[in-house]
Amino acid sequence: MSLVLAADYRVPDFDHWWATLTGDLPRLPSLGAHHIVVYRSLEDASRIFVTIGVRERGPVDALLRSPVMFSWFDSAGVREIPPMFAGQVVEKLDLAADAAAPAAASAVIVAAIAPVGRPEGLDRLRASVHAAAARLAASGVRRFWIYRALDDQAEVMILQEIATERQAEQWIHHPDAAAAFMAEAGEGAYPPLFVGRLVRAIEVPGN
Amino acid sequence: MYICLCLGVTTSTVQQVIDTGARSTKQVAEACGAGSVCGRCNHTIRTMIEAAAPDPPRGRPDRLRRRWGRG
Repeated sequence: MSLVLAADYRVPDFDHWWATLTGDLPRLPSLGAHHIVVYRSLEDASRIFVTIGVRERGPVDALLRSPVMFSWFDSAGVREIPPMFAGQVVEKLDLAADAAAPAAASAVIVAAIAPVGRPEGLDRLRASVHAAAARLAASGVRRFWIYRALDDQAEVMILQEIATERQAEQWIHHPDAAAAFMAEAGEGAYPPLFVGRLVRAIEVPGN
Repeated sequence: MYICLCLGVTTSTVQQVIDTGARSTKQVAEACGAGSVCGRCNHTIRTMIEAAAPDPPRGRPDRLRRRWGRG
């Protein structure tokens, strides 16, 4: 099963990093990376959320300490390395009638990395999301993806694609009970909720 | 999440070390190794230490600011 790495951080000069990103891509196949998805915050133009899809090739800690990983941050001018989420998708709910279609340009991504409690927090979350699927769809949530951390069975990353910025704002201010996890984001090492738009999903050449 | 990429030290390990009394990045590094190699994760470790303090200097981190802020 594919592994997903994710991090929420700031790049000092987004445009410069974006222009030079293609220089980093040829190195990424050595990590087993096959896709990179970059989102940019609506509130803070320097803040990005990046997910890297990796074909599993050995222990995660060996992957993370790879010089290629450090080079990824170095070339973006990122001195302080952010915490990295490493996990696998456990739930993909496509709630919109046209969910198979690519996300509209107006769609907003709301990303959260948070603890969900032991020992059955993840099961509870999945059950509550399934039960609330119609309400989520009515609130504009088009996709709801849950990833379970490899290093902590009670930690999740949740990506929600919401149809419009206005609906995302409403969703964050008045979340459904099934989205209570959003209140846990921003505690300790966990990044605050990320609200942004897709910049680009990149297929890594050579994979 | 992985805090220290050099040694593969996770959030839960660092949190355990803080919960058992570590109050500086040096103490965390001595206890579990996190931050002891390149040191580029020390800002995260400091954030965790501050969040665990009885009277955090900056309070709870803002989840989101301005219009995305939650009451």
